[in-house]
Amino acid sequence: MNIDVLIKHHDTYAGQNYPATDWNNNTMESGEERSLAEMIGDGLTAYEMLDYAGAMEFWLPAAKRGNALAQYKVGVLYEFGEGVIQDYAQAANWYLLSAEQGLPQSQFFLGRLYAQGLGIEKDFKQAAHWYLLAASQGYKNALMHLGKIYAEDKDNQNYAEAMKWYRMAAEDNHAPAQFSVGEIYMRQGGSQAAQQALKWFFLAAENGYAPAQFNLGEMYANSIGLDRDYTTALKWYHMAAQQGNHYTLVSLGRLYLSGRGVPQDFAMAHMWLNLAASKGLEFAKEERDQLAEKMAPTQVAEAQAMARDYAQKFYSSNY
Amino acid sequence: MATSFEHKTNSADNGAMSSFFQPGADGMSFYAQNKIAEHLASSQQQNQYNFSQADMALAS
Repeated sequence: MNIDVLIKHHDTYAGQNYPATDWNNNTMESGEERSLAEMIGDGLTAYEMLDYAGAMEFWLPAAKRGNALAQYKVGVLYEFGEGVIQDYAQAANWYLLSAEQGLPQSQFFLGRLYAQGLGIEKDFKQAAHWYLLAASQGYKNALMHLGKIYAEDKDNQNYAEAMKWYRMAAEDNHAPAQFSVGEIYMRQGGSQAAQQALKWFFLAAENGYAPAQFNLGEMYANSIGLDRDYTTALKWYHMAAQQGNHYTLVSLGRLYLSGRGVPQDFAMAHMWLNLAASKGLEFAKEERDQLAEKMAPTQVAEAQAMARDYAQKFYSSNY
Repeated sequence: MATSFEHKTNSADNGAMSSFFQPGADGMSFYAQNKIAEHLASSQQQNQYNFSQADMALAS
């Protein structure tokens, strides 16, 4: 699809000439505007106290009076079903009213609904249009989603176009974008591309992005683009595992199961596969159960206790 | 510090691609599938070569 017509918005972003409007701290001079600001503030206080219906009571009247920020917040309540029954069509309506006034958050969220076909008919062209408008105001997530459309949408796959948008955010030190640039290189294949991928994964991993740490672990463990080095692989795997990266838990389990790079240890393998299974990975559950058949019940109990300890130490907020 | 509202809206899908090494529902990654395909292709070539060598030996 040709979106050149919209590129002019991108030029604004590239030149860092963001519009001066700060929507969250919009200067409101008239008495009426000040009262709108108070309504938005009171709604936010209610929201922070998990009183979503209360937030709606403050935001909806402000939204009906045409305030773009309130319209966006009402859209979010409808999209996530907070204080109201979830209604994507309503969310899209409120986002549209706000997006047309130029609020970048609304432009981005409206683009997402178009990209996923939630509440409105799926429309890649509309999604790209709204993402670009948000991106032109420096809204980084919009660049990412624009990249994602081209990278993963079956009907519009175009890695060169995806790379353009991801790279823009990546060069601004955005870790998920750095990771995605590396991913596109991996899909190109070949040793030179693997070298490029490594560079970007390394940047994202150093920025603490767990999927990039997992990828580096895979590349070191499987000798992809560099010499095999299990010590370094384990270092990256453990960093990703501590952040709860599902697939790292599987890789660690499989290393201990086969004794690759570590002494073979069924209890450790069971622990990692059990943690992966607890994240909802069905195949990890099957691998764990097959392994358990080869273990003594006391050894399984020991592995389960280790998994509990690990989860408590690193994932306590989720358990 | 970000409010919980900002946290929610910022933490919605970050738009990053999924990992090339990420296992699918069958537990096998894109990378592993490619490796297997490469291996199968090369062993098939090897078999064809051996077969034609054997044919020549029989014919001679």
